[in-house]
Order: sequence, then C-alpha cells, then structure tokens
Amino acid sequence: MKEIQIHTLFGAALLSGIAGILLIGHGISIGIVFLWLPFLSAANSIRGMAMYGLGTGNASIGYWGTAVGATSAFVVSLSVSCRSTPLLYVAAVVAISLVIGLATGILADKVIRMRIPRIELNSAVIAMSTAMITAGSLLILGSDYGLYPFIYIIITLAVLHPYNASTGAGENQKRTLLLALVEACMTTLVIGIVAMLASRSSIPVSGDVAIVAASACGLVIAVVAWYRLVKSDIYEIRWTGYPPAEH
Amino acid sequence: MAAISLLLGTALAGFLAFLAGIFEDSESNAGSASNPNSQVQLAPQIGNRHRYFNKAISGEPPANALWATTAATIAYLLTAHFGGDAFSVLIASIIGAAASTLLLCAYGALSHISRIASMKNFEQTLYWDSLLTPLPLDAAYGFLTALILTLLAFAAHGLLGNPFSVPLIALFFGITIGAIGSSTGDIYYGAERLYQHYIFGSGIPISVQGDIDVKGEYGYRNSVDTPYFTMRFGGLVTGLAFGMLIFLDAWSRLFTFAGVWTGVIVVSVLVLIILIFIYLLEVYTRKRYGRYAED
Repeated sequence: MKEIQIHTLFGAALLSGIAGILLIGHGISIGIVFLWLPFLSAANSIRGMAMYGLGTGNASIGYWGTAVGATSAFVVSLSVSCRSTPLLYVAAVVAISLVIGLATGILADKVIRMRIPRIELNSAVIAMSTAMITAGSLLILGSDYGLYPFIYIIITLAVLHPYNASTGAGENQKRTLLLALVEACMTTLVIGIVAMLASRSSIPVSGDVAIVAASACGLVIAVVAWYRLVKSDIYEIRWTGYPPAEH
Repeated sequence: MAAISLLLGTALAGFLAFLAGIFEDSESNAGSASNPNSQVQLAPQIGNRHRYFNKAISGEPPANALWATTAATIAYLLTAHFGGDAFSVLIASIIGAAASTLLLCAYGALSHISRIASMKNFEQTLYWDSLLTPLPLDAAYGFLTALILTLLAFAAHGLLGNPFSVPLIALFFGITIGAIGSSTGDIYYGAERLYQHYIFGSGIPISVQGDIDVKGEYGYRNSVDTPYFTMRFGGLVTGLAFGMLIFLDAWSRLFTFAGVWTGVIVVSVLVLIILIFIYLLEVYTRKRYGRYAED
C-alpha cells in the first residue's frame, strides 16, 4: 500500500492548522476541528523517526518535539496578541517553531549523531504541528498560566502514542494515522471540557459545547473506522480462551 | 501557626507520597507498562503467546504526568470556581481523578488492541477477557495515584508554600513518580516475575528477552495476579523511595537559618548522608556475600 508522504501530509496540516487558529481567533471555537490534521502530521513524523529502531525512544521524541512546539507557542502568546494581529500571531508561531525545530534536528544529527534519516525535516514538522495545536488550545483556554502544563502534556501523549501503541511487525501507516485521529478527537474533547470549567460561567459557553459535541462525533466515527481496520489486520479476536500449547 | 502548618504539611506530604508510590507501581504492573512492556511485546515473536494486559501508552513518566496533571487541572479550576477549603479540595480532586481515569482507560484499551493487531505474523490472539478483567483494576490504581498526587500538589502548594501552580507541581510529581516506579518497582515484575524460570537476580541477557513466564500456578497467568504479587515488595519500595524524596525535600522548608540558601544546604547535607549510607551498605554487602561474579 502506498504511504502518504511527509510533505503532503504536513502541507495539508499547515493550511488546516492556520485556518483553525484564525477561526478560533475570530471567536469560532469549532475551528478546533481543523487542528486534527496537525495531530496526524506530528504523529506521522514521530512514526518516521521512531521506525528506525528507537524503541523506547519513541516517548522521548514526542516529549522533545512537543516541548519545542509548545514552548514556541507559549513564547509567542506572551508577546503577540491573536485578537489584534491574527496573521502576525500565526506567522510568528509557525516561523519560531520552524527555526527551533530545525535547529534541534540539526543538532541531534550533527552533534549527538543520532543517525536517523530525515531527522531535521521530521523534527521541524513535529515542532510546527504541535506549535499550531498549542496556539489553538491557548486561544480556547485563555491565558491562565496554571493550564500550560496540562496543554503541553495532553498534546505530547496524543502525538507520541499512536505509533507507540501500534508498534510491531504488522504496523501500517493507515492504522497508525487513524489511531492518531481517534486520539486527536479525544484530546480536543478533553480540552473542550476543561474550557467549560476555565470559562468560569455558571452555564457552559456555547463555543465550548460545540467543541465537545464536534469532538465526540469525530471520536465515534474515528473509533469505528479504526476498529474496522484492526479487525482486518488482527490474527484473531476471541472473548476468552487459551493460546495453543507450545511447550 | 506557620510552623505547625509546615510540620503538618511535611508529615502529610510524606505519607501521601508513600501511598502514591504503592499505587503507581501496582498500576503500572497491572498494565505491564514500561520495562515489562517490551518483554511482553517480544514474547509472541518467540512463540510465547500470552494473556497479559499490555498497556503501551508511553514510558511511565509521561503517562503518570498526564493522569496527575489532568486531575490537578480539573481540581484547580473547580476550586477556583467553588472555593478552596479542605473539603472542596478533596471533592474537586476526586472529580479530577475520575476524569483522568477515563482517559487512562481509553489510552490503555487503544494500546492493548493496537499492539496485538500488529502481531498478526506471530499468531497472537486478542482475548477480550484478558483486557476487560485487568482494566478496572488498573483504572482503580490509576485513580488512586492521580487522586493522591493531586492532593499532594495541593498540600505542597498550600501547606508547604511551593510557589508554582498546582497543575505544574502535579506534572513534576507525575514525572518523578513515573521515573521512580519504572526504575525501582518495575525490576521486580519485569526482570524477576516474568523470568521466574531463570536464576534469581541474573538479569535479562539479550538472548533470553521475550522468553517470559506465561503460565501461573494454574492455567495462564493474567494481569490481575501481577499487582497481588508485586504489592509485597516492588510497590512498597517505590512508595518508600518516592515518600522519602518528598518527605526529606519538605525538610528544606522547616528551617530558615541561612535565608534563601537554607534549602540548598539542608538538601545537600541529606544527599551526603544518603551517599555515605549507601557506600557503607555496599561495603558491608560485599564483605558478607563476596565480590561480584565474573561472567
């Protein structure tokens, strides 16, 4: 089966992510669904790096990439406002994460000599994708610093987990990316619920309800699609039983 | 009054950390997380088809950081909204921990199913009961870990006067407890229990990796029996390590003899004492049991 190239997926994720941030910046919270593609793109690049026998390093790649992306977005949010200059905000998020992502990738390749093919490209893609997701989440959750650790760690797990969960001889890109979509929907669902609490109003804000509703619908559709693939890929599914005796 | 609050905070933090350590190690063992994860993953490749619950979420540190931070963030927002007396903190922490447990169940089930789907070549079957029986147990331990870490973060922020926000402290605690659980507690399960048919303490040479015990006292081993076994040693040792870390660290706030440098001096002295103790213990052990054996 032909795999989706990094460039194609990231190109789509970049356009979709920018559209998502601008929509959220204009008060249309449902634009968070456009951030699902950056989740897929980041998970795909983690797959691209971790496939070269990193094993337990998978989590570290996710940690590292999201740290670069989230930090870039946090720094931009401190100095540029999305409300007054939305285009500058998006441009700054993308540019800063690109520069730092590339720089860490080149350092890992040239100085630490990790010998992973295309590490610079993948590192930049993970950083930019997670920076866009972080920027969108920050716009939804507001500027309470207490929420930064939550935003960072929930995005980290959602991007590092799909490949880590699917590792094995029978892993394929399609199932890994579908799992990434499941987890992207799950993450935006949780962000929507936390946004309801963070808004501090006695009845939930309609924008936050829309996020939760859209994410829940996406989650159901993605889980059904993913499980269909699991059933076609797996050796056998049973309610109970013993493995055939070998020794 | 401030001194009483500090003393109370130190004792409470140490006790909570001890409990959190026990629950965290049991949670990771019920789901074969971290080090045992690779061993269980490798087993079908050399013909050991198993009935373990294999929850490949990530390393323990990020996973526990997520449960603790989610619980603490929800509790932090709820207390900001409804007031922050002791009773509200407890109720808010329970709600937060319950929410993060749902996330744990979702991630756990997705990973178990995904990993087995990628094991087609090695004929590993997905048994629903070997996922659905340990999952509630794992979730229960996960709930207790997240709840206690959230309470600990509130105690550190309120009683001990830690300047960081509650979710950030919870993130640090989650990463720390995950690191301790995977380095201290997991050895007991990953290197000993899964390899009981090899000589005790022999480690896992590459040549035997994946050759795990898949059978128990009767029938096939399952992931409900594992915490029952590891609770006797691995869980307590993890609790001791994390409890001591938090308890001794809290001492740095009890004294004020050197201004802002007090904490650094107190902790440095404690680290020195621990190093000397470990050195003496090592010397005693070598004298009593002889030198390390050559390979």
